[in-house]
Amino acid sequence: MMTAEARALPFGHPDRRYFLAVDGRLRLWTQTQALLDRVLKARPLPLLPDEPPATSPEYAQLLAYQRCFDRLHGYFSPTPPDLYAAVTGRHGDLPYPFTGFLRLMQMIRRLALAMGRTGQVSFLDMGCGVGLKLVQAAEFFDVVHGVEYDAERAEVAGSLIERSRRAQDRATQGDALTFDDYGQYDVIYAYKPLSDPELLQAMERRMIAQARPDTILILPYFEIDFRFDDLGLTRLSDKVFLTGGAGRDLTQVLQKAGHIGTILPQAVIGLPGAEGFTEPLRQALRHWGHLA
Amino acid sequence: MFETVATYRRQAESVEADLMTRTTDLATLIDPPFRLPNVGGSADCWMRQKGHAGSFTASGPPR
Repeated sequence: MMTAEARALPFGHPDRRYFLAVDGRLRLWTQTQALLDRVLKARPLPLLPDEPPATSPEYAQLLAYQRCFDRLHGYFSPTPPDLYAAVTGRHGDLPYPFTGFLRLMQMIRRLALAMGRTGQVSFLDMGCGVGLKLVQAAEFFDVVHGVEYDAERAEVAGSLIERSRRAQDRATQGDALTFDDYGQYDVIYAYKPLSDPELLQAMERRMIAQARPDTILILPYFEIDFRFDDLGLTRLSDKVFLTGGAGRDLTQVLQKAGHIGTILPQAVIGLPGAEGFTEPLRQALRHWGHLA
Repeated sequence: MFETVATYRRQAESVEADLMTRTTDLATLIDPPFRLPNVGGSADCWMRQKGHAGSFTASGPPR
């Protein structure tokens, strides 16, 4: 594209700068077309892709990452995490495995996109403990809120979220059994906030009664498997459910999610407009998780 | 020489405008589930079917 005439122009000449920029955009176009072809030809990706083999370097890295987060969890906890806290019926600060949580978040993001959530996607962690899951969830969702019964842990979580400098996020002290805002969220996560079976069911009923139709619930405990149908939920995946009625046909949503990638969009580096005519396509590829 | 450059630039700007139309079309193509009617999964074929004859790569303008 850069002809001899254009190359002969003085440095800094507007036309020379223009042709140099066009060269860059054409290279980007070639790369983008190649990416598009790969995306169109790719097989659907499982909602929960296989973990790397236990002998792989990636697995060892994930394990180290998991242990690192476990240590952080211990460090931030005002008291040692305990299965049964002093308050009757409520669990202590039990962390769901951090790497497993990331897999869940990746899947939920794809499902939310498949369900047509194009605006801000909000996430609630009911029983957020010291708030580390909120930090992870913030990578995937636009708004993350945490509620924690234990005042000391809620304070730690609140401080952590405040330092993340996302004004829309927060973590506060509250009770799952009296919480009134379950209907404000697109995704609700609750990992063993209550140890008493009856209280746990009371929380589920309250949550489901308030939640909007098509709210994604992540309830990673085995008891839910025995009653999700009676609660009016449809299963999206293991321990992941959708409100709005039992037994719904989600085939289309699941098929669509299989074609959505896992890459999280990032701010475009470079001058505004540098992507030029490739921008509509690159933005679409970003939206569907195929381009950073 | 400057007249030639100005001509090239006008041509290039026109091609860029055309490509903007193409990429806007292509952006809808990846709205899952993908719709690739009888084109064998090729974005280039799909573009041709949509009436965008020829291709425009870093090697030169459309032919």
